[in-house]
Amino acid sequence: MPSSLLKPLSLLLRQPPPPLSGHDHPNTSMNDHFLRLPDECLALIFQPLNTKERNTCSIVCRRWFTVERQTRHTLSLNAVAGLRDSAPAILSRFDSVTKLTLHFNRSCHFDGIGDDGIAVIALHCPILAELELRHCYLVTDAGLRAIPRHCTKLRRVSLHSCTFGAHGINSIIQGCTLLEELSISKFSRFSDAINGSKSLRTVSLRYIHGGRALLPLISQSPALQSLRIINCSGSWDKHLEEASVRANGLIDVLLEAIDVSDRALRALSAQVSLETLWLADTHRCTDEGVTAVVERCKKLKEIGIRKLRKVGEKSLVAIARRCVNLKLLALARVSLTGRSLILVAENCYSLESLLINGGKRIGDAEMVCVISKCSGLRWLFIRGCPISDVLVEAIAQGCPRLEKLEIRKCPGVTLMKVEELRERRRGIAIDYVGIEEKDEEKDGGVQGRNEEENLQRIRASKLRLGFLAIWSCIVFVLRKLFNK
Amino acid sequence: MVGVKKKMVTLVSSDGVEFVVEKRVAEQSLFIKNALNEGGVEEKVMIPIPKVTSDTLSSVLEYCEKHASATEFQENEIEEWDKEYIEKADLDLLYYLLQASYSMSIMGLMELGAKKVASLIRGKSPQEIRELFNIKNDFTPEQEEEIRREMQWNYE
Repeated sequence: MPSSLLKPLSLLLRQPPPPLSGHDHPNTSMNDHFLRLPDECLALIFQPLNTKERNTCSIVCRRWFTVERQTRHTLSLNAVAGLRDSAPAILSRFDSVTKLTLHFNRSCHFDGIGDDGIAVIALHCPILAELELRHCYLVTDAGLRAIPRHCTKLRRVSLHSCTFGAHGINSIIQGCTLLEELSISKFSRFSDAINGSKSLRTVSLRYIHGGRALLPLISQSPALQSLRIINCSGSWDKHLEEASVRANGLIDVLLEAIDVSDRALRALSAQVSLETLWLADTHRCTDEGVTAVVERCKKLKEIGIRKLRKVGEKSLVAIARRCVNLKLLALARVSLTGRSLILVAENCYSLESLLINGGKRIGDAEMVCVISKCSGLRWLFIRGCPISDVLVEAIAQGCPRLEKLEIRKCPGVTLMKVEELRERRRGIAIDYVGIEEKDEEKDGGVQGRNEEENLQRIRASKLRLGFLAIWSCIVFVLRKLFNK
Repeated sequence: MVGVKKKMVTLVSSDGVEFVVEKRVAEQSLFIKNALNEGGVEEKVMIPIPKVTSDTLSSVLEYCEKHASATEFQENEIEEWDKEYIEKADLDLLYYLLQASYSMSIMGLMELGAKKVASLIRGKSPQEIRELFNIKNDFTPEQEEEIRREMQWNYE
């Protein structure tokens, strides 16, 4: 950036906002008084706007510029090499920024930001509480060490698809003593172990190869409350066992598409403070493991189970027996029986949200019974169940507190009936997807779905490439043979 | 509440019009709530509301009345009502509502108004925004260019 132009802007930064009384066209239009709104109102107006819209507002006039820059708390910057030189000016303009994202767009023609750039940015962000690095492929362990040196107030760090290793991440974990939340996603295999810390409360790991390096991270963080592991290779039973020994205040656990068995669930059952449990695509988990958790964790409020073939009636019976405080139950592609579902409805009085996806044996009779028992139901999601208009009618007459209803891909429910319900109960937000319509599968809370789909797509294309390679090899060999 | 005499409060707008409302409605405004607490519990309290005209005040009180009885309605019913309420307001009223909700400390109304203004700003160019609110551009072309240049660093 040319330095001659920096001057007027930096002058502007130091200037107080122009006096409001000096406004010079008093009554040409009634609207002009918008300039006289208090700063607080103006800040509130900017709040719901996105970065682009806020940028537009900042060039409307000086006062808007000043109020906007003072109230900007999140900043997302293009992490190219040239940012190093402009960062001081940008970061002194937005000096209240507490959340910074450095995002490198892989399709751009410039080099990404390097270690020197990260150092300059860290130096100018002493009050930063949240930092996110995405695709910063030129940043190394050495560059990351500058972060804990200057940003001592960091509470949340999210690292996505970068190339630095365990040493850099460890320097942040050890250097930032306030760090509470760490999320790491899409990294290749770490050669060294990543350490835990006393302050870490939330750890989320997605798409990482080689679970062994992550063992200390989750087993040496005694204050851990929330643990999310999605699509990471390696066996996780031992990790969860050790984590259960060290941390005794786990509240929220989400395991998706990783290799865990009942052993891990049995270990988790020692966490008496557990409130939410989400299990998806963890094929080795069975009724036995789920029952163990449910039996001992009496504070459970949210249970979500998806695509577990070996989980079914027994778990539900245990839930019905033990989880009196259950608020949310999500069951997707689990072998459900009507009897056990009714049992849950009879015993879990405080159930507020119920999600059922693909229950072949859940028909009108069962659901009518469920909604008559759960009078506190606020959100109901049904997908791919043999229910019909009878249930819709029952909902219209019952469910006094229902706020949101989603019916997807249920062949027996007609649009006409749903429209009628919409007319009769205006308080309910209804989402209806008919049998012929396209419907993205929704699992109500299990995260990482999009990434999973992407990964599947990548896997499919890899498979195609593999086939192509093998095919061309065969053709090549055959040709050689024929030539001989 | 049946049988209990409802406590009333009199609010006086800047142009001298008196509004008699229930205390619980008036207390939606933190400004009034504090004023009532300071003044002690008395019958027939008069509270002047400076800088707020009678037209605006009646609109503000309409909002307060709905939200004072918010517990009787479902959440999305209130949302729906809010939406219709702010949709009716033109640019002038919107400004007065924001100003009034600020001086009377009614956070909910201020947020509602701010959201509406934000929705007016959305998708417009700086020049269009200036024209809409009749704001004069007090940047030099050089400064404006400089700010635009800095925007290039934003990731979208």
